[in-house]
Amino acid sequence: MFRIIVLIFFISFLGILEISCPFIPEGLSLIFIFLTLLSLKEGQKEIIKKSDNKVFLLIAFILAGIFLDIYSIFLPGTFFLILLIIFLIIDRFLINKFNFNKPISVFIFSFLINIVFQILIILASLFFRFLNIVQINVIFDKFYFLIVFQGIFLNSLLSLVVFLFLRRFKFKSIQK
Amino acid sequence: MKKIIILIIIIILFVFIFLLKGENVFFVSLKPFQNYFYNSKKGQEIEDNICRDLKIENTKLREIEKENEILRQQLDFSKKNEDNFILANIIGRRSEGGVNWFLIDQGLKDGIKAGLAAVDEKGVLVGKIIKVKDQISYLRPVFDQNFSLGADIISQEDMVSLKKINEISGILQGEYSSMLKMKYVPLDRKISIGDSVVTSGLEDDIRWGISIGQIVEINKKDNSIFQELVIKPLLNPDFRIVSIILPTKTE
Repeated sequence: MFRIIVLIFFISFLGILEISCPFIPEGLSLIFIFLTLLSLKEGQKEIIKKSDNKVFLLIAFILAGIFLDIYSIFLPGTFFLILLIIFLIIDRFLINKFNFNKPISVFIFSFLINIVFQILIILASLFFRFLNIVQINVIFDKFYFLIVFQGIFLNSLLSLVVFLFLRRFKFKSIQK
Repeated sequence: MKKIIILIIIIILFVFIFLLKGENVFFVSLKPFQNYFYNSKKGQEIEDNICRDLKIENTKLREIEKENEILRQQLDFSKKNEDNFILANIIGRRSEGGVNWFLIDQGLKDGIKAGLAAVDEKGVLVGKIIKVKDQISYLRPVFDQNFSLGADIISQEDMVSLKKINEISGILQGEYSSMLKMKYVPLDRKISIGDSVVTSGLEDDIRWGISIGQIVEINKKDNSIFQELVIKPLLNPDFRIVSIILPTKTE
């Protein structure tokens, strides 16, 4: 329970930092990077066969989805569903197929789930446009793809950097 | 069993947050932090600040000119539009899937509703309210590609001469770049670079004459009955406080 309360506060903190801090570049999603790192951590546990608990990861995805929904112009539940789908994709298809000891694997994993995240957002936008629920008129031109790709690349890169930093830090602390 | 418990908790959370407005807990408790973070960046000096101010002043003079002209024509000498407005702080910005929106710290309880225009400290249009909640509102900026609004052009000649102003209308649309596009402007209308663009007043809750920008490029295609204009917005790119203009009440 304590872990979940800390998780709520941490997601809220990352959320307001992402939304309100002017120094955070456009397209960078701190909450999604956090979820990526949690998934990577879970993936490492899978390899060394120590973990059988994915509930915490699921709760993190759910809470993050709800937080993103609160500050979103889309319908409530959109980000919740998107993140739930990503969780299922990670759990069923991705987590066992990568060796998270290799940086390139970590980057590709982050890159893939970021692409899925962006595709699902685009699909949701198109769906809302089709139903005329939210006034969205996405034009798929070079500027659009540039912004989307910039977000995917930044998120993947930062996930990799933070993951390597945390791994190094953890390794050093174990040595001591 | 675990899955059922999680499902029940999720449903309760959803009902509490989105139906019973539990989201207000987040809005109220996080607002001070958002204000702090958003205002942590120091305002940057804008190089063409003076030039921009002059252009805005110029546009306003044209608005007054047109207003006088209409008043003279109608012999209705005592009516003047005075905007009622609500001041609001920008507390955040989000961009998802190429859709941009700003968060402002005023909501339904303060009298804001969807469709209202927001202007910066110089009275230049910065965007339109697209969604309102009890405590906060969502603002779509003019430079978002989903932004569209009816707009009028006021030519430089109209300002100099006292003749009746010829209204040229079109649809303004946001772009990913810092420029705006104005579409569906009839090809036969004479337009010059430097002409001002203001709101057309065709929307229910947005009055005529709010400054938007100036024409910097005119694109004419051979087989088209319309011309397309590139507009440079005059808004302060680093806006932090906006005024939400409430609908004008004509007595």
